[in-house]
Amino acid sequence: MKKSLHKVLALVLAGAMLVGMTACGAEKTAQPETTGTKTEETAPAQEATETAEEQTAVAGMDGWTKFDSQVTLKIPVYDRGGSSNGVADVVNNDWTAWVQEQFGDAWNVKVEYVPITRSDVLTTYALLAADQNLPTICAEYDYPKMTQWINDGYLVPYDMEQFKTVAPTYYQRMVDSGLVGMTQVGGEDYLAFGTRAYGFSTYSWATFYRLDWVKAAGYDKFPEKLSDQIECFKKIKELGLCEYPLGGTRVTGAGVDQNHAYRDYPQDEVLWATTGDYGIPALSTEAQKRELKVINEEYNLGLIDPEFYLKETADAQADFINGKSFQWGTYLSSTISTLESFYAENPNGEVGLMVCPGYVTDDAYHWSTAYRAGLNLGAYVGFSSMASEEEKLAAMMYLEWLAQPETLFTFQWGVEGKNFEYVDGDPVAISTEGMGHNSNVDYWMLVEAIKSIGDIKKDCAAISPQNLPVDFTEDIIANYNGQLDVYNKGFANVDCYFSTAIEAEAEYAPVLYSKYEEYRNQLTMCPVEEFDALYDELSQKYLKDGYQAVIDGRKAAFDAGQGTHLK
Amino acid sequence: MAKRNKDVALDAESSRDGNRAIVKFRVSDFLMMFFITILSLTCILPFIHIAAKSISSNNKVVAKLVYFIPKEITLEAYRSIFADAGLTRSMGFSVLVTLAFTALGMFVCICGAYPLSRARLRGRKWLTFLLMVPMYFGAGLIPTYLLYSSYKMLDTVHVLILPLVYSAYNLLIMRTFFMSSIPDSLEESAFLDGASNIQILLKIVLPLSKPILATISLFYAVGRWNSYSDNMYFIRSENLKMVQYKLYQMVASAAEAQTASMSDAAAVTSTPEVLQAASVMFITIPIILIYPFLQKYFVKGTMVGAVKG
Repeated sequence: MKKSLHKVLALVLAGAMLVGMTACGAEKTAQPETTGTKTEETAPAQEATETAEEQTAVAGMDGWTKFDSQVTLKIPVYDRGGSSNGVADVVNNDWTAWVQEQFGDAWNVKVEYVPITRSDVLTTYALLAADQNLPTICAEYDYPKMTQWINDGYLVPYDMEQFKTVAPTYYQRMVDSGLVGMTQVGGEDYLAFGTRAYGFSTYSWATFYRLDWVKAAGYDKFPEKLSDQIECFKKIKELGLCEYPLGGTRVTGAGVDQNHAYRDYPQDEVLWATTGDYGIPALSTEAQKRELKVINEEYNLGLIDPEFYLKETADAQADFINGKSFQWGTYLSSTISTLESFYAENPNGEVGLMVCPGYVTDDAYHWSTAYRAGLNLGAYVGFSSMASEEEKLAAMMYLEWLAQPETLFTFQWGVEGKNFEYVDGDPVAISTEGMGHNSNVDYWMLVEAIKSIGDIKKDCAAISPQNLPVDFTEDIIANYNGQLDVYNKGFANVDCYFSTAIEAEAEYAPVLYSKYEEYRNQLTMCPVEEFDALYDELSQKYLKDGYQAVIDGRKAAFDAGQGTHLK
Repeated sequence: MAKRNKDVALDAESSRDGNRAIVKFRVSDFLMMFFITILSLTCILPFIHIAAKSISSNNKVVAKLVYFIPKEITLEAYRSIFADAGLTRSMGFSVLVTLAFTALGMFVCICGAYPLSRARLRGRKWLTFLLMVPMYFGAGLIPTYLLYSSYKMLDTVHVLILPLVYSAYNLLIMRTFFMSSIPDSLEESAFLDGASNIQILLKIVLPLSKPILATISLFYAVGRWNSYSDNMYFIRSENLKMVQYKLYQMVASAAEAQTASMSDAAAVTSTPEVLQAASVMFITIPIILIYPFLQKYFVKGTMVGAVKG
């Protein structure tokens, strides 16, 4: 009886599966109908192309005509869950109403903002794509995400000639920032770019250090050369000011242990293209060996906390505040609570800001002040494959409208008297009330990544931390100028960008992050005399773990002309 | 005499209320108490830690100087929370959704569990088997999203209530309870007295099942109160966000702020750790307040429901 029951059960389950499969099949056989719908959509699309041609007779906004029937434009906006500043609802607030009034109503476009969960961008886009409901514009700060979306069919190429005519201001910004050559992926124009002021430098990042300890060790400021820096740390330790001046944290993920300071210059182009990226740590290269050897030496000198591999970023922050480490790095803003906490806990403590001294070398460690330069590139912008020609046209118009100086200024600075006021002819922020995250950046990121007055001194002053005993503005400017010197001398290079997705990167990156952390810890903590042999051994393992496949993939793409060249 | 000696022996190990364990303290008792204390501390200490942080100054918290005793006590974070209309509104919305969800969930669970617990229901093993399938197999996020989309449930309050009201796990526990606690003879006598199925359920079965009703209600309520992933994927409108999802966003954006560029003149908008801690307290306290009232049922209900029927 039981056996027959099981048989019946198996049959029922098999039947259910069959029904399910038939249902799936039915969806597929319904394809002609779908195609029919698409065919029906072709007519308006053709009309839209004609409308586009009409509209592009004169370049820029003067050549635009109002859409005959309302077009819906979907624009992504990050939802960060910030309830501060009165812009908690990112898709429905005074600013979105302002856009509709200024842009939407003027051109018969209904602007709908689509919230994108900031902490889970890929999933949010995947769900929208599955529902055939992608925003007209898809935008992100990361290039790999864009290439993935292109591979997944989310994005379509656009007509560059049309773009130049509909959005000349936006296009010119791309030209001025040297980004036009990067729009193509697989030979077609897929990407447009928001720009980033001073993109070559890392001026908005600063490392703060204990100036009082440096003085106690006999220096007037933080030494420029690596040899002197290590000597300084040793003295600080000898004086008992700090047990482990260099502190240390767990090292994991993308962007760790950048080895630009230890590379040979001018760089070998193939080595640069295959191993010189930000994404995957370059264990097995000579530059990485030099860097890790220095870290190993510092560890064996007792400058690094023996339990560094257990510490997170927040621990390093707390250690700096509590006088247990020498330095701490952060992005700059007018409010830095860590520094406020530092001065509260150490009323007599002195903090300095590490300034790039320009191009300086230290032959003892094969070291220099070379660094990784960025592009003048903000957000990557693409057009949805699910958008009609009219919607794509409206998207280009939106980008152009957004790029108008007066639009951008209002979006970034808000209302005069309420959010800013003019001091000596320059706007100065006085209140963020009613402004979204970082002065509405999530709305205007499609055009610009950071708010810039256009003068580096004023821009540095704007990000200098306030309400502290020390004004760091001059140091921030000096740091920028030091980096500019390194950049102008050719020792700050931009990474190689590939116009195709390197599959091995996506496949092996998670494993390599994990392996790098493991191997790096071993290399940091091994005795100095064993370092070379261990580095060679672990390099071979790392290559077998997938790094060789990544190098080969990049080499093939570079040889095929799908990568940028070293400048 | 023998009887008297027996009484004395009993007295030696028993307290006045008859509890033997209290008078004679064995090593095993000590070990049990020790482990229970450790287990309890693993639950209580993080809570105390968060509570202490929530009323300390941000400077002390950022410096990781606050463990279990608050330092530089301030209620500023709580003032900020209550001043934020969005968060308090979300709290009210979360309470309403949780109540509606629990009520509907209990209705579905009772309606499913009672018939399945009765031997006179033909094919109940098959039905039980079918109802248990979702406990082991799920469709995955994207098919689920598409399903809700086709039912026009996305970005509506329905998506927060309807999909999860059927819980195979809760149904199984309740069915087992009914099977083990409500004898068929009781039901038969009610039938003889002329009661209908609905009357038996309402007037006999449910009044005798208070422990399991309280337990499953708590399961439903706590489950709904703590989950936020459906908010994250299926809700876009700000006014439909539950308070737990807002807390998640708060913590996630603070983590992101440590790595993202903040190169701007505006103030950093990441949420201070103190405010995060206060938000955790704000969100956790309501469910903690309810728990003591249901606890006595809760323990009994889980024990009885767990007995194999």
